[in-house]
Amino acid sequence: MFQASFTSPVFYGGAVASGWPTPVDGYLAEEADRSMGTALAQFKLADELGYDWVGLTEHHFGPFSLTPNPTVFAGAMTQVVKRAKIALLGSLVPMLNPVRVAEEVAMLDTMSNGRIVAGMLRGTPNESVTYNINPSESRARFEEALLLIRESWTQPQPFGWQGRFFEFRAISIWPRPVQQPHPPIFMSGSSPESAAFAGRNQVSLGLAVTTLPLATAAASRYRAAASAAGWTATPENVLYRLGFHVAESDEQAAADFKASHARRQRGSPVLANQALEATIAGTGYYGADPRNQRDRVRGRFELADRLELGQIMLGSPATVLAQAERIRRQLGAGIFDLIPAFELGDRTLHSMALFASKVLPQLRDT
Amino acid sequence: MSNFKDAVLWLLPDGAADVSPLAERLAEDHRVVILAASSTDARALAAVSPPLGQFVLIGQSSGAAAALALARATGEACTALILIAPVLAPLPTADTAPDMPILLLLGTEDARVPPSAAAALCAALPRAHPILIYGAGHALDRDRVEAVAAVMRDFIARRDKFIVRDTSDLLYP
Repeated sequence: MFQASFTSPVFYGGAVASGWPTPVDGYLAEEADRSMGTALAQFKLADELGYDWVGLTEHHFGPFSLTPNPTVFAGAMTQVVKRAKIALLGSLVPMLNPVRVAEEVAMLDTMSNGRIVAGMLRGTPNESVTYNINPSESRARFEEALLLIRESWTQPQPFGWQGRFFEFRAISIWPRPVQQPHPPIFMSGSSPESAAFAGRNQVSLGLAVTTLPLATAAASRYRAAASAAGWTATPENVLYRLGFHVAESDEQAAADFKASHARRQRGSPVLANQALEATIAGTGYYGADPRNQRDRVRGRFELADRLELGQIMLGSPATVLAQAERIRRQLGAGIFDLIPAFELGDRTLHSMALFASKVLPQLRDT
Repeated sequence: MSNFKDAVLWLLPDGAADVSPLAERLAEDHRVVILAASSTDARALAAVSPPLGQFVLIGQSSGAAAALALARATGEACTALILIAPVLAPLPTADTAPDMPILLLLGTEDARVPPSAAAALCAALPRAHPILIYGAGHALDRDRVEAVAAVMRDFIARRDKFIVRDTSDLLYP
């Protein structure tokens, strides 16, 4: 079954200061309020239009996204989004208290009656600075935190944890997750290490901020690791994140997209401070495949390249359907996590509706 | 119970290799006596010289059943029990479980006694408190010596009060 997730970083606003951590010059409370209101309305609409999931990201110390704690926003979403799953894509678990994450997600699962998807990420490289963790230890912390969270959801009696980075003498979370044994877990799996860990531990895979060729290689590694661990990864275990904008015609979509970029002032938090990114790269943060993993998050491509690389779908419903089918077939992904072209007001809403009515049903049927 | 440097009696399963590096770690400030689980009963214990006095009993893997039996047989001399990846088949019934603090150590990578075994073990041993040793297999005392030594020393010193942290997190005074 094909599923579509509508994810918003929750920021709509004008020009702000650059750099990361971003100074608050240009911050306007009313724009933050409008961002949250707009995002909530879009999530509600996505739910009504029939998207399977609505998703949130976690970013800190800048205008890239105003959800440093996506679980707080997800709490509001449980009251507005009535049908779709609510996906945290995801919590930056290496730098959080894993027991707290387990509690918050279990709360949300209770508040949504079992509709939470628990994504867990290391975060973009800059996020290591956010809560002061050593980037060279972020992978080890991530793996331990994920497994501790899963134990917290499944151990039926109080237990302690003697980890490498986390130590707890007694854990017994309340409320318990509605979904049993626990909510679905997704993790970013672009690197060889991540795909191997996800396969070994039967965790679903998310591929984001990547290209179709890199994602295809990562998904292959993941399926091989799953087989080696004795289970079969299906398309439902593979999520692919990409941009999209649909309009009546290809020409209209291209014009909308251009307008969106002309208005958008916010950049990637990775590119916002390249000296910081270089310092973090020097710690070994990118692991065993540093060139691809680093280029992936630093890449800046022209629109034609982005279309070819499967980073975005753009055009009329027929054009976008063809693009979607190519990506889906090549990658074996059963879930698309769709990031809208922002700042287009009614055109964004129209694009969401066109995708839901003219593209999504075809993808579900094939 | 006032002597917090109790002796430690470690029952090794049959066929266990050499002495665990963890036992050496504990021996730095505890008297550690290591005996074979299969030949240790109350009479063998009485032959230990000088006498053990009060002690904490450790049962490991297939040595766990002997440790439970000895804990029941020795009355107040045995003050607490530590079970390391215990292989107990069948499980004891709760009414025969020793009435003393029990530390249950399970490795997250242990295929023989995995973390999911904690529920049944805790039901059989109502005073057991499980601690999962992250990244350790069945020989968890060898896989993560520092981590296991830290929690065992704390438990030996403070028994069930060990769930309350008593080390400081102060970064800079």
